[in-house]
Amino acid sequence: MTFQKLVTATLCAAATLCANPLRADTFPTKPVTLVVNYPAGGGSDAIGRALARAMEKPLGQPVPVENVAGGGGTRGVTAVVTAPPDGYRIGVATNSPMTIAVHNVAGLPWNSPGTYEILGGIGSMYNAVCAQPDAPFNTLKEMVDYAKKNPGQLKVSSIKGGLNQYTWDQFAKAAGIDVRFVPYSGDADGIASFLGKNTELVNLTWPTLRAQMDAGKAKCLAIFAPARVTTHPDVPTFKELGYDVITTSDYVVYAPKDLPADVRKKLVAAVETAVKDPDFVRVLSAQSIVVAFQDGGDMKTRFTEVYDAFAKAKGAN
Amino acid sequence: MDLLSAMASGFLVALQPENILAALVGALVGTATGVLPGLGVLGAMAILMPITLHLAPVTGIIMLAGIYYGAMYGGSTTAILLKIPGESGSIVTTIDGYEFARKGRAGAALMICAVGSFIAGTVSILGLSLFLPFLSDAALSFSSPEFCALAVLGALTLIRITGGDPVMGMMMLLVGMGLATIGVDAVGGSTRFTFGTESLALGFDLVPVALGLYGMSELLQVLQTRKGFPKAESVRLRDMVPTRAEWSRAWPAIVRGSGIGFFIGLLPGPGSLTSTFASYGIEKGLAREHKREFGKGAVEGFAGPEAANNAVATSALVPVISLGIPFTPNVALLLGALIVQGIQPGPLLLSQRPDIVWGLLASMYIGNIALLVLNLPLVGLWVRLLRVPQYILVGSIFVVSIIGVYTMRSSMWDLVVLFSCGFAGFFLRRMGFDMAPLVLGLVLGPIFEKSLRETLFLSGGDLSIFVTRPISAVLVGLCVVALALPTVFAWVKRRGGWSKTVPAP
Amino acid sequence: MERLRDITRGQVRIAAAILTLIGAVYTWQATKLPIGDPIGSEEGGTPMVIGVLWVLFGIYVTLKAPAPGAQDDEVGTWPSRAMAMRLIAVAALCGAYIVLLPWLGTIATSFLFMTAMARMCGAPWLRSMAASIILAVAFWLLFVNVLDLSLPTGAFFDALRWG
Repeated sequence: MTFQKLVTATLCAAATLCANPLRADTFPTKPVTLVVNYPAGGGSDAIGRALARAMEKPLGQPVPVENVAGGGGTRGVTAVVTAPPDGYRIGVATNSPMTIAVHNVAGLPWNSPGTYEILGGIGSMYNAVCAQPDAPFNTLKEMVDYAKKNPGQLKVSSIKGGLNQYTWDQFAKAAGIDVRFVPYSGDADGIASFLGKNTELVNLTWPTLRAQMDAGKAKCLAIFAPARVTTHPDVPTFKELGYDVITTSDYVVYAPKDLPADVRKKLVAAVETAVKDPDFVRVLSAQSIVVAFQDGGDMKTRFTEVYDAFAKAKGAN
Repeated sequence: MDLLSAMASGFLVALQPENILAALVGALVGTATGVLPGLGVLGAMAILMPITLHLAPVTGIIMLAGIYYGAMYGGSTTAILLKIPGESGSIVTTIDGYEFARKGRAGAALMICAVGSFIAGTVSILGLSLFLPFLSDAALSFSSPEFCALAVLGALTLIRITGGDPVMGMMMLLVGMGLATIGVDAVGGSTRFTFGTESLALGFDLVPVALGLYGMSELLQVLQTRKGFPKAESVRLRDMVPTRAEWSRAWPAIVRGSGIGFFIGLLPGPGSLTSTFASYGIEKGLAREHKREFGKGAVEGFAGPEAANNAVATSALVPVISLGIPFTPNVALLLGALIVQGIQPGPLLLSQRPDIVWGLLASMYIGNIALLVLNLPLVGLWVRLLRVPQYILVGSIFVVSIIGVYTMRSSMWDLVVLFSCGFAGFFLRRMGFDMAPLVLGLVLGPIFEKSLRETLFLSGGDLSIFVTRPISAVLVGLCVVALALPTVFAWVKRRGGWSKTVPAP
Repeated sequence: MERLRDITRGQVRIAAAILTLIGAVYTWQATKLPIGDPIGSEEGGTPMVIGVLWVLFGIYVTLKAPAPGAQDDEVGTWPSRAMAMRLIAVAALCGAYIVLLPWLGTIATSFLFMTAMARMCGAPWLRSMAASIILAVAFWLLFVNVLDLSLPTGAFFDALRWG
């Protein structure tokens, strides 16, 4: 807490009390609230706070973070989507609430990615599949052959309901294998169970698995990424092995629908600048997120694809 | 010796002036945020992490370690003085700590807690340094079936710890477990028991419920008459130092609490709360001449749990340092901070970068000492809190609790829960219902459900998995014993009584 | 001190019955949730176990209805009329806080709330208001500016400030 910040803080509070604004003409003329859809503390919150700090400079206004958690992350999205489309309330989220949890929560005032505005993607994360170091197979092909010979014998620890299960099911269907899916509630529990030798396979995020793989406690069969990762060029992707399945867990910045064009342009530019901020890159890289700005339109297409797939799966049940 | 030289090099780093300063600042900030109800360790660390980004790695981590310990400690201050648990680990402390303070020994209670926390931290760090490599493997042999059995064992053994009728306690435990299932299902992600409302979908968070049942209901107790909070009659140093008799009762409890906390911290789950319940239960079980004092201000009743709570803070780091797996959100955040500083915890850390591990352990130790140095003089200041005029104190506690709860997830529903639990707790307590099992149920419920469902997925629905795994089988056996023992005792007692009263033919 | 009315076993029984009834509704709702395959693995399984046990123990407690224990002004007695009035006043203040917070914002609502609380604790008007305004602003500075958290500013003041 620097002295300067304290002074600014006092002045801000005074301004709130006096309610005497100085009006400027161009957006933004007042603080822009960034909604994080998870509670204070934890990965998503850290990313949100880093983004808020990085966006303050290009916007020239404070960007306070508001934690609106609950409902599997959907409550935060609702808080943004139902706000007036003036650009003063935007949010940051992953695709999980927008493409998956949205189908599980009844009565939301929004649904498909067309009902809000994605300003852009800020980073992505991939999943991978690893096996026990002493497993009787070393490649994905050998694993598939083994699973075909021993149906229902193998177990894979992963996470229920979300993208993990979605990609695993897609892969298992394409490969025609029967592997028991053991869901855990997070990466930590899932990897602990795998390390405790409860399952032969594990399907979790790449950063979690990479640490174990480097220590020789797991051997990686393949990664659900669009291309091989630079640090581990020997790990093949599912795509090149003939399974066209890619999991990306994307962080996006979004806003209510129907933003004025100039406001949207300002916000997108601010997000683009923020993504290049060294502190921001540091926080995201620490969570092994690949930081890159991605166009909002492209993200919308990708979100819609997964959203529709889940809607179909839900309808089939 | 390798271990000693490694540790010495760690201390050389941690004892740099700027690092000592960082430890002091961290401990101070941590204590302050721990005192604020609602805003727990997690909030404090999340908010202050950005500042540590711009410090040197070791300095940043030392500051975070200070915050971590400080918040753990700060929570007990308001628990003792005002019966407001500053964070969930100090809920048990409100029971006997507050009663002890009401006897006019608030200063002594705080001092016992400060020293107890320090000892627990020290014991835990030593244990960590000595056994780090072995502990991680042991922790991994605990998986879903073991947790499920452990949750049941915890429920069976802990419901009667705060006294009261065991059947009534069982009912309250089940009410707590039921409340925990309302809202979003943590395993599958869908909502349940919401009756279509957004409020119920948010569920009953531990913080507003515990703060309501304990803090708010006590405030109502204070407000219903004009009597007010217990007044600190004097803040002379002599009255703040525990007596010899108090020390001799506190010591063993602190040592046992440290051991319990150290063990429980190694396991996944909300260790800080369960360890305090376990320590309280054991102290009460072991007590002989002072048994009747429990619930009315027994020294052991808060010295043990406070030590346990602080031992957990350290030993919970074992899975992070050795495996790179954070089992609680607090530790996850610390992990995040380490990674941002360019340290990747995981199986390789200890062998590849021993300097970092020992530096971290040394920094934890420094943070712990900073806490003791900082808090012993502060005891006098905290006790003066009770001399703040009633009209300022009551309103401020209300508002700080409200704001603390609100900022967690910006939800009015949590305020509704806070107030309703305050009034419900106030009346249920008058009727003789025990609130501790309800809070316990709220914590154990999710662990039980999650681990049970994981077990069923793992075994494909086969329940024999609980008895075919050795550790789980032992735990199931203990559950059976815990269920059977009271019945057997009661039967033996009745037989004994019967043979005495009925004259031999 | 005036004699407080005791809480009777019958009244404890009613409280236990209400808790049991809530448990019954809970169990009934749980039956509507999917149990899953393997049995118990979906979101309805555990609540069924909890619900059934809840009702069983609830019925037992209702029938047994243990006496509330100690008879002092904390346990085993009903609040006197004067105490009840004070409690109702606190409840009304808590309700008012929730209703007013979105409109008046944190500072104004906390100021009003703390002033009322201070009055209840017997402080004179002027002193109550002075202490409350200082504390309300101090808490705002602490939580919003020092700890960087978001609190409601109030729709009313927002409208004044930003139009």
